[in-house]
Amino acid sequence: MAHQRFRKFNTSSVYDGGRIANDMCMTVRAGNIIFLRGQTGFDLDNKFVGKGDAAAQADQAMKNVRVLLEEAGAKMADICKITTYITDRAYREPVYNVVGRHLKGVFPCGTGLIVNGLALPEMLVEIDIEAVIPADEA
Amino acid sequence: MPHDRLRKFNIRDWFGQGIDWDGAMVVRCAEEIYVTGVNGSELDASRTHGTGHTAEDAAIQAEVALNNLKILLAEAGASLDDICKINVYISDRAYRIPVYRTIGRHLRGVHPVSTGVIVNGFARPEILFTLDVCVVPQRGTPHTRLRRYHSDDAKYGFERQKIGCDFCQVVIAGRRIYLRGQMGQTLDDSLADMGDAGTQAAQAMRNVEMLLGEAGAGLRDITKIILYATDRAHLAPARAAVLSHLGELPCALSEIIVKGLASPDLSMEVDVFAVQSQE
Repeated sequence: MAHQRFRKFNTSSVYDGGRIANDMCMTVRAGNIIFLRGQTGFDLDNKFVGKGDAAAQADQAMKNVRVLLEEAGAKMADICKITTYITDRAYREPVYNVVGRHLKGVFPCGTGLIVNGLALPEMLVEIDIEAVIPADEA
Repeated sequence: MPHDRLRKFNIRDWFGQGIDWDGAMVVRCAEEIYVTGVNGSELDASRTHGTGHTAEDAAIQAEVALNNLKILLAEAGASLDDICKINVYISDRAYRIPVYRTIGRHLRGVHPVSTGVIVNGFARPEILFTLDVCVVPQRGTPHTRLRRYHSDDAKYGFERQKIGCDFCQVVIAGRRIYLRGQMGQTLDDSLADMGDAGTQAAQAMRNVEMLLGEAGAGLRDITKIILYATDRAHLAPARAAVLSHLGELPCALSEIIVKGLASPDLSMEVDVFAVQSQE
């Protein structure tokens, strides 16, 4: 079976000016492995939440993660790896506490990086998720 | 059956951090093994080694990290030989050679694919280096590793670097295909002028398509791309080149602006993850 691609969209709806039009999607399901687009303060209707508030952005990102995983047939408990990018060390504690609340009891592997920036300047946090649906549930 | 989650922890128990975050050092699935980024801290978080912010300290941290990784993989029934891909994150270019030499010594003969990124920092200021790995246990059938090379014979941008690592361009591990982070260099390092970020990204994607083809796969099998750029100004042209190359095969993209890549000559790099789709 070809990979399933969920919530396809065109980049002209996201990035400035709308001049560049390419296709992207939010979720790719390859067999029982789920790959998500890096999640940020943008909600799934493309409205930006939490300008200047890294914790609020992280909360929105994790709400997106739950919706995206569920519509691909997975659940939070299937998350295996989370990579958290923040743009300032000061955001670590508020962001991680919010993410930790969403992940309570899941126990994923994690890697945390402080980076120079993300796709748009207002993004202060981005979360990359890889999830695997256990073979006998796929 | 749920995945095995080994060495569970909560960050609040580590180094006095006020963070309530449940994690595991290793998650073992039926095929893949996931690992929390390893660094110079002891596995029981009793101390961090090499905290002096010198190149020597970075090498000490890398040594600790690789030893920890060996332990973690052994506990999960795997070994360093099963590593498919490494992502090496350092916080200063000065750490690159000592860190890679340490990795190269531990992974002699393994030939993983590799992506190297310079970031601003990690969980705590004393951490100079973090290593992420993608692991698929081989269970009797060795992974296929295409276009093996030794780092010292390769070019990074226009430079040669004595980093002492056995790498390759493609690892095929069961259904999963891992590619080396692709940059504006041709696969034979022959390019005389790398051009701007858009030109580099276009070359990187030509490499990706060729390498996937050699692995018996194609662009349709790409699941996820992480695009690294060294400046916000490089992001839009690089993104446009990457996505144009994919055409109507939308993937899940993440875009990260980083402090640096393997060489100052490089403006962008793409990390491409692919899974062989069934016909």
